[in-house]
Amino acid sequence: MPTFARTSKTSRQAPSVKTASPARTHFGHSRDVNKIVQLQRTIGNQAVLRLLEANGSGEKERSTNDIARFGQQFSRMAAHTTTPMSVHPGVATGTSGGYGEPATGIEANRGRSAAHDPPPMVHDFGALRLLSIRAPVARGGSHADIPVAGAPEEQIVDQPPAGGATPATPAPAAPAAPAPPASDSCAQARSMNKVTSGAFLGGLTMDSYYPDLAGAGFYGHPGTGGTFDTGDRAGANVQLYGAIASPCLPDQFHLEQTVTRTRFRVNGAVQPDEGQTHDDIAKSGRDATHSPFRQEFLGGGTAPLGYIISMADPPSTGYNATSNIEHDRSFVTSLVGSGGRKSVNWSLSTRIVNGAVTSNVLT
Amino acid sequence: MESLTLADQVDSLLSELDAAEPVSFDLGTPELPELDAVHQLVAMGTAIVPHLLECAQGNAPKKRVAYIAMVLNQLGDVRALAPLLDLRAHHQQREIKDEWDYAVIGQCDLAIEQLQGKTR
Repeated sequence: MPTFARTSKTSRQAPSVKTASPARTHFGHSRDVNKIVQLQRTIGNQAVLRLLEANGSGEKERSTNDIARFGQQFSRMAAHTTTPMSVHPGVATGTSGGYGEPATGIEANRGRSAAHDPPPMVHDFGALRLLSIRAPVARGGSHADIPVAGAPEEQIVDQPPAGGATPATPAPAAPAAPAPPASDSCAQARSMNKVTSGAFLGGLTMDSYYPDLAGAGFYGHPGTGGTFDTGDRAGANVQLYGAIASPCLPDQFHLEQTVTRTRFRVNGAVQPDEGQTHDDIAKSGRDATHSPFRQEFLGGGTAPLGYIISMADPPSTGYNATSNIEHDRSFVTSLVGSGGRKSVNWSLSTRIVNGAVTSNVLT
Repeated sequence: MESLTLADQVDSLLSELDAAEPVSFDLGTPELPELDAVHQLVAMGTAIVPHLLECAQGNAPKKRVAYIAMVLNQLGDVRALAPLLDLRAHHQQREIKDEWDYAVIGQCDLAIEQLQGKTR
């Protein structure tokens, strides 16, 4: 089959070269050839052949550079879909080059399909383009066809029969798509991470998560992760964040955190909850489903790609001039979806001897 | 006379809890140390539930209310379920909450979850 396709391509490309106008003598330029080869890999031999045929029979004045340009533009399109842009309803996708309008449901679904599996996404996106070429449907004012910025697409793609009706000859059935994984990527977060030093992600600070505590001495250096000692509290700032695929609905994920007090001694006395594990968020009384406790932002930059759901925690141990405290806590913070969870472990170990913080370690 | 004595004992123990200073803070909320007064209240049994609920009304100190919710959780008397739901809603609806409002809500969360499990 590959041999047949290659032979076919060679035999049918020749007439195009023969009919090339002088302006197209640079068709053989290696860069253009490379672009066409790249285009073939992306949208397939048949689609490129049809472009060449259209160019050779009725559009002789046009340079094959148009095709090459289409290839470039096509490549740019694929790149746009890999950016961590939100494809939630009402959020624009694409660029300002002409198709950056709010995503329709269909388009949002396309984005969702494309964003699930980054490495093969360009290929999948190309397959969507092929469907658009081979099986055009009534268009009206829709822009559900190839959104090419720049040159009019009539120059570069097959157009449907007049009126945009369904073609007389039904398009061949598209090959069956590979079976989706047992759990789609919206059923589970991609990752769960922590910031234990340096600036919090998303331009957030501890005060963003706890505006009621801002300036109240509950924590130090609110904009960064790491340990602090305010003089009567020793603790640490931690930002916890999970990444989900951009097209997924954030509401389908929730945050959980458990704390296990592995050692808790005050003035030598073992505290009742040493060794116990608690639902930390329930005990806090905070609403973990909404802002300010739960903060969301688009990934990218120093954050992972995708859509970020985050929380922060400033656990601390209060002390005075006579305190002797051993306090070790282990935390598990999770972002939970319908198909499972992604978790990150972290811990804080604090030692206070005669009112002085001798050790305060965040890991 | 005997019930009055019981109420006095409850009030005395609650006063002890008012003086408790939390050592641990998490998610911006103080964590209530389980002092011996808590264990003594629990040991008094479900007979103190009506008085505890009465003490949680009005302008009771928030720390005391949080401790009452903790004791009601450990007593496990389902009669406290509806009042705890109201108590939580009262503090949740406050436009400006401090850390002790969250402590009350958190202790109510735990108690409600425990008591709802008993009614299923």
